[in-house]
Amino acid sequence: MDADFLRIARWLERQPWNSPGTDKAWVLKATWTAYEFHREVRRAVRVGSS
Amino acid sequence: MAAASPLLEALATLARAGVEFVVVGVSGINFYARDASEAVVTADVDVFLAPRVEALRSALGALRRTGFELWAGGEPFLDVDDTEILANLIRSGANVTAENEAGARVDLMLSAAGFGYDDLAADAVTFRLGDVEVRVGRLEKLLRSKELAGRPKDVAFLRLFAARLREGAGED
Repeated sequence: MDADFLRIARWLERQPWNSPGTDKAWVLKATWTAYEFHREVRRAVRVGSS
Repeated sequence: MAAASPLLEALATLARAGVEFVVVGVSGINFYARDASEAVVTADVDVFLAPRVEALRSALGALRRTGFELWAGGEPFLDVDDTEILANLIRSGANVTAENEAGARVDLMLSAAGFGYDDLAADAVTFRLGDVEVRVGRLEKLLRSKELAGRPKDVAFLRLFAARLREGAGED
């Protein structure tokens, strides 16, 4: 990893939303919702208009 | 409206069963996102287990009891109580995959590129998932592990993540 990328990654780790003990349930809920959305989009059948 | 997440439930199940693990991979990297726009869409969660038979046995049992089917080497894995087989899995560093009907997948890892379990566990960050705590590998180490794995998808992910990270840092 280049030094700049590493510096930014370390900066991100120090941010308030990454303090130990922060509740991260929202991450798993959000990514699952997005996964289900994309799955349904792939399944969608285009219905022609009359 | 809060959506249910089988991956959230799987991690909570492992935590409540007292399994020793560290969340790694893209799923671990996602823990550091500021908001949903920074998280990568995935139906997987990668869990690096402590390399002990009891940790593996507890994890397999907990996931199976909550409706996950277990796979190893592309075959159904049924020997969750066979100590010798579990010990062989640990020695080989192989993975066991747990999948449920909703399409959620938990990759139970017994090895990771560049880091042993103790390396990642030593300074893992403890976050909460509601009423349980889970440990997540340091972001720097998770990214380094992907770099060392070097698969095309890892290279592509790191390129995209670096671009997002630089964009996010520049906004502040």
